Amino acid sequence: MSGWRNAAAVLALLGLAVVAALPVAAQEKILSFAIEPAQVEVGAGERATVAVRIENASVREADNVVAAWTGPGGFLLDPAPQEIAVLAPFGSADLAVWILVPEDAPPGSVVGSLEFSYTYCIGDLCFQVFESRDVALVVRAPADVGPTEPTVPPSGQVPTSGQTQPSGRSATRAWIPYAVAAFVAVLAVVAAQIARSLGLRWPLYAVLLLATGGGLAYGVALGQHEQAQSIAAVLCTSCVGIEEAAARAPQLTAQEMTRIRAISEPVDLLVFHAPWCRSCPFAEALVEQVGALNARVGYRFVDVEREPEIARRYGVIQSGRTVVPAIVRLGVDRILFGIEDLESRLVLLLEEGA
Amino acid sequence: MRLSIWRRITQGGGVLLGLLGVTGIGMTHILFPGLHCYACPWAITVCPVGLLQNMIVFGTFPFFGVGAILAYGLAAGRGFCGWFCPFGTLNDLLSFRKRRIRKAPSYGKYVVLVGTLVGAWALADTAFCKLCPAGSLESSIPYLILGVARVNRPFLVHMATLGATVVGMVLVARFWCRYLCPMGGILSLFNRVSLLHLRWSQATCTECGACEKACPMGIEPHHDHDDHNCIKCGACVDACSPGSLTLHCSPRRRG
Repeated sequence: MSGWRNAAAVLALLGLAVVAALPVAAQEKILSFAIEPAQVEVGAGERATVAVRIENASVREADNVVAAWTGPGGFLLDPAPQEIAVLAPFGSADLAVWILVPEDAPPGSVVGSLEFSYTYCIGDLCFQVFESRDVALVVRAPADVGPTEPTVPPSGQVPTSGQTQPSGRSATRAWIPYAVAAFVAVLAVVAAQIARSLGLRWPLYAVLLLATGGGLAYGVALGQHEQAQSIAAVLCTSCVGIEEAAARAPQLTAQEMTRIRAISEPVDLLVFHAPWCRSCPFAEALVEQVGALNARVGYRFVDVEREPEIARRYGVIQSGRTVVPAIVRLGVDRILFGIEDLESRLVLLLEEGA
Repeated sequence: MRLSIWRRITQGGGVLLGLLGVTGIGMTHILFPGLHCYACPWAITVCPVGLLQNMIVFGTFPFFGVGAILAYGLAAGRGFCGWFCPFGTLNDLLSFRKRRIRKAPSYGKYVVLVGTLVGAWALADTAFCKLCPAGSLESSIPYLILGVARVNRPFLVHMATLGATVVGMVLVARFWCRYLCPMGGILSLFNRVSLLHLRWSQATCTECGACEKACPMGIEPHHDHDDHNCIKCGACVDACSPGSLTLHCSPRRRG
């Protein structure tokens, strides 16, 4: 009897935990924003210009990076800043923002707020992130008065608001099936208890068999059995703890750059990756850097889920398992797996036979 | 024939299924009814705990995974832990001291289970896999030998969890299965409804306590033969001289 209570408690706990975890979105801020200059002096009716340096320090691609003015009122972004459609992993971009100060703006310092929004995805799961940065503006007094004592903001640094605004964050996570499943599980335990007190066992078995058959059939209909197979068949090195996913951009040393530039023979690389692999963007970014340094280094990215036959042909499949990221140099019978020390390992691979 | 001999045979079958990929068979769609790393170079089956985590990370409800786990649960509940799971087999093999701890709280596995699922949700990562001792044994070490992995921090973390688990297994019978295994936690929810089950006959039981002494999971089969920790291994059945405890794989009788 106590076992039943335990099971009920556990199921209820499981359901509660899943529901409680709903607001704990997996999202993180993957972009950093730096505003230059720290403080802008501008006359009423004029435009202030600030340059925003946006850096993506993650392995994920940021999409639709947009800047908007969120206060105080009267100020306008004119012309509207350009939208950055795609910011690649470890990529960076510069954005010019013109802020039109209203004609009737009183002289003095104003701290305005620029809000940046962007989206990024992990698999089917996409997040929209909002992040605010303060802009310090010093509105000059009308010209006929002459430059007056500038009202000095407390510090020369642009204060950042530090935290994202919770109200503005939204995660497009498909949580409803989880909540329904947790509810059904709790319901099943309650129903089982009632059925048991009535001395009936078949309703419980009916529910469980229905859930089993239904789950399997619906899962197969959604193609989840194929998904399960492909998740297990393609192994990304950072997924099971063979190495850590990189949180930095690839960094070639000056010496490595010289050695790459010195390569005189054409080299062809195949970079095998999977779309959901966390360590792959690092390998891709590194090969792109190398390709930019020396035009003789040609490369192609191969998605192992779309083109498994290429992975098979080049031996990236190890004992029936595809391991990504993997770099193959055509004509060289050695594969670079993973991203650890990849800079130096790749340079050695490029120099082989030279 | 004693149940323990049959059990060694099916446990051997579990290990064989776990390593069948050595023949060149690729990954199948089948979920493994136990804790067996699918990153193992010779695995041909999908680890249920890994699949659940990945599906949660992708933001998809794992209908297929839950359906398959329900099917295994209804068939044998934790019977798979006792009769099939390779990591459970390792627990058995390492239990040199045969020490039994009774009445020790064993809810740790539910904490690990909930932590695994919530962790996958909150971190958008297969966090449990990076600590999983089965993964250490079946994936980290083989990949080190194959030259894909290197000795680095994640590898050392894996070795630390494996080492701690092995010490636990040597000191306490079925340490991992009893206290920490998330897969055991899932299967234990089905222990009272599974086809594979223990029956106990009050009429012949002499309350001698031999079943308690034999049980690797530290439960008292003559008091609760459907305990959530019961792995249906049959050690108590073999130990019961009056034959009051029997193992059946059939629809349950009422009551």
